[in-house]
Amino acid sequence: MFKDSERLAYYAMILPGLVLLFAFTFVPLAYSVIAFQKFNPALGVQGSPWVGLDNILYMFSLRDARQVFFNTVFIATMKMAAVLVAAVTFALLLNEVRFLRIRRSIQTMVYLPHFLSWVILAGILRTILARDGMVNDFLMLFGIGPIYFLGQPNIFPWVIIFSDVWKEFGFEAIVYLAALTSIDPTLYEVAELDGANRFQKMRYISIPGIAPVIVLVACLSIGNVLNAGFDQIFNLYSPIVYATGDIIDTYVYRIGLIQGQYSLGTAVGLFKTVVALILIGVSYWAAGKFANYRIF
Amino acid sequence: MMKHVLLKPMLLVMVLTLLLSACAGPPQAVQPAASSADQPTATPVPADVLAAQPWRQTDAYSPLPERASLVLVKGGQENASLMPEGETIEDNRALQYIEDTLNVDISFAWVAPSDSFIDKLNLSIASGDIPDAMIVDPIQLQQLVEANAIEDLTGIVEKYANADILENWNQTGGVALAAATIDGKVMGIPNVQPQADAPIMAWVRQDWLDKLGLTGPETVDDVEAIARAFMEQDPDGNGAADTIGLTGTMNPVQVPSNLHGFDAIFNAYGAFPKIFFRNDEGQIVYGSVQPETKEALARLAELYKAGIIDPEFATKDTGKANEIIVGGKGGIMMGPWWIPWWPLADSVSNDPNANWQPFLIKDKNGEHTFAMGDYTYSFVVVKKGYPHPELPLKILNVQNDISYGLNDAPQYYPNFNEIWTLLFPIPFLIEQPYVVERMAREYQQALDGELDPATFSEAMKIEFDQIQKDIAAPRSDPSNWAVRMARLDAASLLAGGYNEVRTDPVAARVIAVDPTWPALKKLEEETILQIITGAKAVDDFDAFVEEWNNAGGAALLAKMNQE
Repeated sequence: MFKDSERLAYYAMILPGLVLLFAFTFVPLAYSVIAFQKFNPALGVQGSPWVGLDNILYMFSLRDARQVFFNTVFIATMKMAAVLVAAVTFALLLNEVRFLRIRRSIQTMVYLPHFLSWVILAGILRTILARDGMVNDFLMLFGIGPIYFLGQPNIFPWVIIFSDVWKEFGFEAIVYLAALTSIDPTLYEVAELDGANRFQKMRYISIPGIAPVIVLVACLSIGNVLNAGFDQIFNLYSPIVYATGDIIDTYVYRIGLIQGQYSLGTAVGLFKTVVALILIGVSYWAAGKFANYRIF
Repeated sequence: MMKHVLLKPMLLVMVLTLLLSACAGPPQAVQPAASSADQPTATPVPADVLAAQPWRQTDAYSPLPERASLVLVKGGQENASLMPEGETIEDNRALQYIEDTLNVDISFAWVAPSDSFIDKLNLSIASGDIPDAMIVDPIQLQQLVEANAIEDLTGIVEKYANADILENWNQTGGVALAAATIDGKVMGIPNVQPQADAPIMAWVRQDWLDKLGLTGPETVDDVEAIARAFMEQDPDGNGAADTIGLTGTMNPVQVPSNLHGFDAIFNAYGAFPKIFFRNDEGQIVYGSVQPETKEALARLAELYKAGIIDPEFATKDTGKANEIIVGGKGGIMMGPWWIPWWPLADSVSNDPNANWQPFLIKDKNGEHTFAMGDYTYSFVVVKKGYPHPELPLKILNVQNDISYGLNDAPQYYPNFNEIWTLLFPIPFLIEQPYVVERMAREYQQALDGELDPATFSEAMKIEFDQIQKDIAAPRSDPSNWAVRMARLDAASLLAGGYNEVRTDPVAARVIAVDPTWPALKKLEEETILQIITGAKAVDDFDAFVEEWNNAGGAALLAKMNQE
């Protein structure tokens, strides 16, 4: 399809990305060996004593390990499911709006938060979720609360999940909106002739039309089951919600970087990498099987 | 086709540039920031000056017989613009004086901004490219000793330290040097930090107390009564019950300098959480798991349940808690002696009536007893094989002279307090541990006419002037008020004396490198907050102690007590 010279140009274009990927992903991966050492920076990777599986075994003996692993999977899975449902619903509803200008402006408004960093959004959330904040003021009108959103372990994960949905669903919806535009308009015309109403058209044309995309997105997101969102949680949590809010990434950050336990931190990180590798395999297999998605 | 002809060489250049930049690493970083060629010519101390000034021939100051070189590393690059015209971190008059006095060429392998200094130093250590001398923390000290990468300074520290530095170490009762001693060898030069930051006082708005006819607190009961009165009796007169009784943050205990900390309340119950102290039998025990801590937690849980403690303290950081104080929504703030500078000065500028006064809380026995921070938390170490291992300590001697105008050290810089970390090759302080208290006594003596303020150092003269101005017109200028409150009123309270409970230096060294410590710390911080907020019952404390011991705490204590 391409001449060799053209192909070279494309390779050159992805080269900067590959260099970065190599430097920041593959090189650090090689240093995962310190998970099997009692790593001492002054001795370096070559000089530090080997301790076999000590760090890994210690990690599994920690009460924290199970808790942190569960929190990560729970928060990440709930986030993916909730964002998916919200984005699909939103795309279907927005697709029914007839005025193009209104459609465009709504779409722009809902995906704006996607471009804000969690550092900023966390500050806003802390204020509106405070005891005397907007949300509690509103709930008080109905005699509920005040609710301590960021300080109660049973509520905290849901704050994380719903704030993530609020931030991301607009952006995710773009994929589904694109899929909706690719549905053959004649199908709708035919349905109208048959006397179908709007809900019937949505039920029998729109949803089946974008189903492959929904399945594909769901399958591909399996690979992210261990990414519960460091930025978001780090900026919102505190020791009081460690029980339900501490995830693998925040845990590795605290023990590895703050407390200087490089080997233990790396062991936890390596464990995450291994599980993520398996999940990505599963995700690729599922995407191929259920959505006919192939890279190679 | 034309564009393809051009494209290929362009791509080649692009690819090569990328590969080169990817492989070569940061090219500037590894080169000496100032080679010896850039240095002004050496001017060793002439023989007649040496003869005329006998101090120059003592061990602490004697110049090296032959010009030597010393390679260091440096942070603080981002502040370089504060340096006087024509002077730099690599070449300035203070540095020049040190070099001349000791007959040494000091250069810097690299100069980095403060926020990346630690990373760069860790990188240098990891790549085996360590400078001749450097400042390290307890973890790094331990690692460098294990790697056999630094000089044993036993014998050197006591021989070459000048009288000031020796005296400051002695005032710690031997703790400073013990902290630097590993397996009986002194492996680093210990710092000494002022101790006044640890005792947490109750700062209370006197104007509110007066309005409600109350007096300042002496006990935890008093704090509770005042907090309740502030919440219920509308001291700010705005007609709304919107005052927070007692502020707090997600760190209820943290030694030293815990703004909004409950440390003083724990201490009042004879509880010293976060401190590994020696009990009456000489055994090291951990304060957080003692029965006294349970008592204090029970009281705090009561205070929280009664709504006296800010219901949202557990998710607040210092900035959020400060907002309450600065916004006039709270009349009690727990904090060290220096909080008049921050955040109380902001409260005074918002409301000139805000007359914050410090009070010390008494314990069950009617005494003032406080958990103290470590005297020492950083060390200067010398690279293994450096031919003059005593040299860094001699530099610290000369730096001390420059700081205080001793011997014939020149006083070049009017903004010295701002730039000393840039001027000095080893920005490291070995201070008098009780300097804050001493200054308070001297200011009071000067006010009483017992001491001539003309004898004060320049910095103290400026502060004394501010104190006098605020006495003449209280709170007319928040920055004068802050100096008076912190340096005179609060520091004088401390100068009245108090009992100290501190972490044993052996324990500090063991936890620095213990792999179980992070998990224990997490368990403790989580449990303390849960008990105070009522998420766990007070009696769950016993289960916590058991879990703490089983998760490695008991083994940790055994290890400490073996050493």
